[in-house]
Amino acid sequence: MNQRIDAIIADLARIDPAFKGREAELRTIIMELIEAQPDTKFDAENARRIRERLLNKPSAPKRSPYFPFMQIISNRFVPALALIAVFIGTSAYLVSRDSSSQFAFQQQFTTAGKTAFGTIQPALKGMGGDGNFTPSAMPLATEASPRQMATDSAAGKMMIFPAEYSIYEYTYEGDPLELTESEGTVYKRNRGQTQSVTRDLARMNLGLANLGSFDNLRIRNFDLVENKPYGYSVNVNLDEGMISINPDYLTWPGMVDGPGNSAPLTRNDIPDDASLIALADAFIKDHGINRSLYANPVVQKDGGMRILATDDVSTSMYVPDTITINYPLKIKDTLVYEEGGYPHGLQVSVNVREKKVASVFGLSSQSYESSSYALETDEEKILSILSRGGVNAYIPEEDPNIKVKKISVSVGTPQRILLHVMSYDNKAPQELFVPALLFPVTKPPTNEQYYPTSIAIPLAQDLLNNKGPQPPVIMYDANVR
Amino acid sequence: MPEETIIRECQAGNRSGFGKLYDLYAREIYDFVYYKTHHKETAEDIASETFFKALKNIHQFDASRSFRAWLFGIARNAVMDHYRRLRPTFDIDDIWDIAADDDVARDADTRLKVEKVSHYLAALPAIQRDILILRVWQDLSYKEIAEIIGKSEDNCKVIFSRTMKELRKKVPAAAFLLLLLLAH
Repeated sequence: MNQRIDAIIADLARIDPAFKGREAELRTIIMELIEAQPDTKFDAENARRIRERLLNKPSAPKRSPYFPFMQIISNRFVPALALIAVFIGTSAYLVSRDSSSQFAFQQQFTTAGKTAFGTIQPALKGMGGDGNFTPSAMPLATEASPRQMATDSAAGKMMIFPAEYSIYEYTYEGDPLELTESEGTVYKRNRGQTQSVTRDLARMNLGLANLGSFDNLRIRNFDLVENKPYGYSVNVNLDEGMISINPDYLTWPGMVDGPGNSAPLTRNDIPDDASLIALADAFIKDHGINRSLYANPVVQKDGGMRILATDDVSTSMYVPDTITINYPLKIKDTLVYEEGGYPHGLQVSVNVREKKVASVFGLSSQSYESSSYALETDEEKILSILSRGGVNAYIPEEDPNIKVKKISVSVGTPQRILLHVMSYDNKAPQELFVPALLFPVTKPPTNEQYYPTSIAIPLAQDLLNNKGPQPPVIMYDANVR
Repeated sequence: MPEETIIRECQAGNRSGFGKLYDLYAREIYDFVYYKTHHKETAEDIASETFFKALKNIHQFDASRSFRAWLFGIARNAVMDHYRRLRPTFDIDDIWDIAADDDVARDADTRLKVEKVSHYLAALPAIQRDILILRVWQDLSYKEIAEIIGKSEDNCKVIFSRTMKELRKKVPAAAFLLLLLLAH
């Protein structure tokens, strides 16, 4: 293992001389990564199972009306005839025989009783990758004095994660909030439903298994693929009431056999906002997506798209192959946002190399139930939650061994929004849209890596009073090698 | 029989030799998919799908390029497609983009093993994470990585060094200090 680590470190020093003298740090990181490497347990049995699936060619069923030439390698899994059977059999929640009907994509509302969706109980989604964690407390990678938590336990000695934190303190510099409404409307999106299949489809054999031997089969989702260059793969999820569009990578150059143009992209290769939006708008129009549900589109410039926030063409920042344009959803003329403070709605991604739309996410059926819920009217309470960064902000407990650096962030007058929340009361996930305030960051910290552009604070008392689980304290084995 | 010959024969319609290609790359592809899914059954499904698609489309493969890179490319896309079917409203590339408490299938022992680094790896863009997996976990050269990722070798090196710089800031200093203490 040491030789492997040495080789990686030597490479890094050649790539960037700044790494010289940092061998010990790099060794720590690489050792941690190697120790965390999953054991794939690939063995002869795995190989046999995968090979069997791949190379077994079942003989064609002699009397199947749908698969006269059934050979797994050369045919599609679902012949067109069976697919038509699916459509004839499905009720028109998303698919209508009347091609002019767009009922599923116009918003529809029904009213339910008060607090009809139960207590709004979000689950904590974790601290990485979903943008839902407000950076109120970030550990500093500086000298620390680790605190020992357990000493003589059978598990060994453990320590709490770093003993220094940077805490963001949010200062409100806007107009008075005027929270006069003690009740407000929460919306719940009605998901789709699985569809029963026709008897003919249920009799399909496929040469592998008799589907008719299973009871009460229903279709949950299916994929449709365009058979042409730059074709798209359309996934229809009847259960969720959603459609997503992706490139059929087998027909897009560069996605399977290596890119035709392997030159790395530069800042100059990225079209301007107007051009990106024009591409996205044209795609939406061409494919009959109902644009009126969404507010004006915005090119995403945070997260992995940070290079778009600079016009410096000499920047060495990573240039992504796809740029995302967000079309914020509106419900009753109110914009919808995610808990991380970024718009919820349609996401159209443009492939920068091909100058084509690559994918569309967030197309969902727009049928809602509405219900009244108690809202917070105490301005001080809202500002107190805002000052620490939001409902889910994690603040470490006071400890004399922990150094805390406080960083100030200013926010301005909020706008009223609906907050997209997944709630898990009644033991089933519910997609809710809750009245909230969105505070724009007006003065971000300088000399810090700070990315949020706004902070969302819900007004529903359920969300303010029920913080949900806090991120666990991460324990590290004190006997680190 | 050399790999190029097997591929040419497959492209000519004689697919009997494809099994040898499978034997050559099954482990690498399965491991790579497993590092991106953390679930044995899912990895087997996606690995077999990868080889299935390779066999089905071998006539489109440009024999002047690396077959291994082509396979890895198919595997990467197959993993992405899998998760985007599961969570169509989210831009998910692999299991690292999904929160630890989500009910997506993953092996319990792997979840524990990667717990220490999952926070850092989940925060990386998918391409940085893939390069890190290919370099550190699969010990591939930058040339091989470049062919798989579809970028130049120099670009891959820069991306990897940038990733290590970011990790340097995030890996707990406590672990680093202990290493120094233990070394003395």
